[in-house]
Parts: sequence; structure tokens; C-alpha cells
Amino acid sequence: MDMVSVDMKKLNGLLNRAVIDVITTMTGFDVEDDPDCSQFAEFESVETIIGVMAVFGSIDAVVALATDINSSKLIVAYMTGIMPTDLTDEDVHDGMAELVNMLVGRVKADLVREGLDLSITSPFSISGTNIEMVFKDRENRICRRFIAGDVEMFLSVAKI
Amino acid sequence: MKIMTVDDSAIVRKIIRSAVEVLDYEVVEAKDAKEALDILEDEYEDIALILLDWNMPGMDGFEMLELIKKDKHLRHIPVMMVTSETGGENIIKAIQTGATHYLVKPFTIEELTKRILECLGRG
Repeated sequence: MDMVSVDMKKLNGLLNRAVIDVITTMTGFDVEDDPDCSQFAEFESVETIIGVMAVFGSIDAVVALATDINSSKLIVAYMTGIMPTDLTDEDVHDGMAELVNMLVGRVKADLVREGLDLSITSPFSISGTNIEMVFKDRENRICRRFIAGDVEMFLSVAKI
Repeated sequence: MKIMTVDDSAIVRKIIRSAVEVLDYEVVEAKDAKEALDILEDEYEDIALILLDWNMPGMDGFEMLELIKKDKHLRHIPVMMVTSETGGENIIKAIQTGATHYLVKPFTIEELTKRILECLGRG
């Protein structure tokens, strides 16, 4: 079974719930989702940090959660109770990677219950400006925007 | 007494530290199972509880739980698995192996504190 045979609407729904649940629980933010990802292009021009994880097995995919550096500091500050100015770069990278770990863990458990066989990699993070993720398969891709006040995040899932 | 957190995520260790320090316990951090077992060798008598991540590079949390529960000096220490793996089978496996509790990430500080107190018999 591959990503095509998984109900995309269902996967979308699982991811959506996972992101909202993880961010809300860990930060207390009131998160709203928006299926329109058209703002992502202009978002790429600012300094961005992306938490990434790969999933293998019944689905081979990359899951990425991107936000700008200032938003990521705010997110990690609310997760830890540490002031944004006191956070190290390592804290911010680790926090974004851990958020992806939590949301992929949640979705993996949901899919394993459905009978899929999945393994996940350790999470990691990438930061920089004008980061462009290009996947060969442009058809099987999910992108969603999440907003919590001034904090804007983009979730991207692509079949590999 | 001390509470040990074993997690490859520095952020999770910081979150746990902030919850544990409020309870007036000293925190001992380890970033992987090897470091944790080295610390336990010297400090096992002072450790009141181990909070153990499941997915870690090298030896995973479940393997470490098995070692702890087979060791005559360590087996009495309560272990709470802290993990993003929400699968029911894993929870059963951990409890059957001797874990006292199982906390699924994401968690709130209130949830974490409640579970720690339960593990310590103060819930």
C-alpha cells in the first residue's frame, strides 16, 4: 500500500487534528487551520525553520512543519516557559523537531490502528532563508496553513 | 531525592525539569540510555523516579526499561514511559515489562505533574 491508496482526505484530517492538538497542548495557543497554502511562496523569503521527519513502510513520505524564526522562538518559549530572548538556537531547533516528532507519532499511531505498517525516522530541523523543498511527485502532496495569533505555520507532506 | 529524565530532546528535558523542580525534587538529565545507565550505576539509591523516552537513538527506552527491571539494584525504581507513540500495544508492553505509568506526548505541565505525583505515590 502506498500513499495513493491511503484516503487523502482522511490523512489530511488526521494531520490537521494532530497539528492543532500538539500545538494547542504544548503552547496553549488557539490554533486555526487554513487549507490555502498560497502564502507559502512569500513566506519562503524570510528566515525560516523547518522541523522534518520521514515515514517509511505502507507510506513513504516526508513531513515538514515550517515557521519563521521569530514565531518558532515564541512557540518554543510557550512550550518551555523560557523567555524567547533566553532561548538558544539549539533550543529552537530542538523544539521544532520535537513538535514534528509529536505530530507524526500521533498520526502514525492512528494509521497503525488502521492496519498500516509504518516506521519513523528521528526528527531533525533545517533553517535558513529561501529554503525550497522540491519533490518529484507533485500530485501526492498536502499543504496546510495554521495560524495562532501572529504565529503562522505551514505543514507540508509529500510522497517520496 | 532525584528524578531522572532520559530523553534525546533537550526541550523535553527542560519541560520536565521545570515541572519536577516545582515539586522540590532534584533533576538528573540524560540524553540517551547509555548516559542514563552510567549515572544510575553511581546514583541509583537517590533516584525516586525515571521518566524514560521510548524513541531514542542507540538503545531505545523499552530496551532500557527491560534492563532496569532485570537489575536487582534498579528494579524497585518506578519508571514512567514518556513518548509520542500512542499505540495501545506499546502501552501494554511497557506496563507488562514493569513501567509504572505511560505518558503520551503532547502533554500539559499539569498532566505531567499529576502523573509524576501518582508514580511517587503522592497522587
